[in-house]
Amino acid sequence: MRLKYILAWIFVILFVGVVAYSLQTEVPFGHDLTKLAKYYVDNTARETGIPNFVTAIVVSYRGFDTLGEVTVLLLATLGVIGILPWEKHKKVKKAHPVLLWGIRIVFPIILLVGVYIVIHGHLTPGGGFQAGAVVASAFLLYMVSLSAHLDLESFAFTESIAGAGFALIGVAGIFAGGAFLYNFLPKGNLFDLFSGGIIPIVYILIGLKVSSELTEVVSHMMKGGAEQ
Amino acid sequence: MTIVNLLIYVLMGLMIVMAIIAAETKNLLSAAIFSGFISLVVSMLFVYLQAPDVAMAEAAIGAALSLAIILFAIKRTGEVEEK
Repeated sequence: MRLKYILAWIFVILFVGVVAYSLQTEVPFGHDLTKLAKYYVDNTARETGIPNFVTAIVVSYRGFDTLGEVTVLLLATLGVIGILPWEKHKKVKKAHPVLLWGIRIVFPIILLVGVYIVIHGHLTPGGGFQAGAVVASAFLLYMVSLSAHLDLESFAFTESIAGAGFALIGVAGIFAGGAFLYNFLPKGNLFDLFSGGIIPIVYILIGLKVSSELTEVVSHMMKGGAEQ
Repeated sequence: MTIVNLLIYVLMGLMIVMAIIAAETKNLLSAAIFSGFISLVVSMLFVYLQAPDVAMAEAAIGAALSLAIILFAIKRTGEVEEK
């Protein structure tokens, strides 16, 4: 017990020392790009037709990895649903009026922010995963207050449609251009909302999928399983 | 030392203190809330480090969703850590 504390303190002091030292040396941001980073900075706008490097890497250059990431999230959701299945016709406690009205005001605003983030995913920071988390937190607030009205079947439907759409767009790329997730649509002008070919479409599908998966995880953690 | 650097040091020190509290307290509810607050501070630091994508994800997942999941789990199992 004593040894554990001494070790923990030594670790904390070492960590603080390293961080403080690295802050003193003032790591320069945006200088000395590696070869790969230089390639992305030079060629992203020309090759993918969108100005956001992060989205270009996530959806276009590393699109196949993203399909794998989304699949991992799907498996995690299935695990939670399997352990804590949802039971219908459960008694729902009525929320306090202050909470109820606060959420009625805040819920549409958070939802709007999430939709904005996913639609501008190829232009501004953020995208499918971030917007999915934001939308899922909006639905978390909704479930805390008005859970009687939430229909989980529609979330499962949205999730499967979005996942299948992502895979089908990838397969369509094989037929149109010879590679999985090939960008077969016209790229349009840089910085336009409708530009970048399939990238915004795929990111919107990822946003739908992630948001419905995270909502299902939270709702099953909240209400699933046996009655206590 | 600039004022921004000072702020970064203060935020990092706050994070370490909150992490120690979260690890040491016997009340699981406050431990969960302290860990959620750490995620919030980390997302501020990500904004300073010019990574707004990561900051957005950290704020939404770390401070809201994972905290909610941990809170629901605590509600099912009990609030106080037992030896």
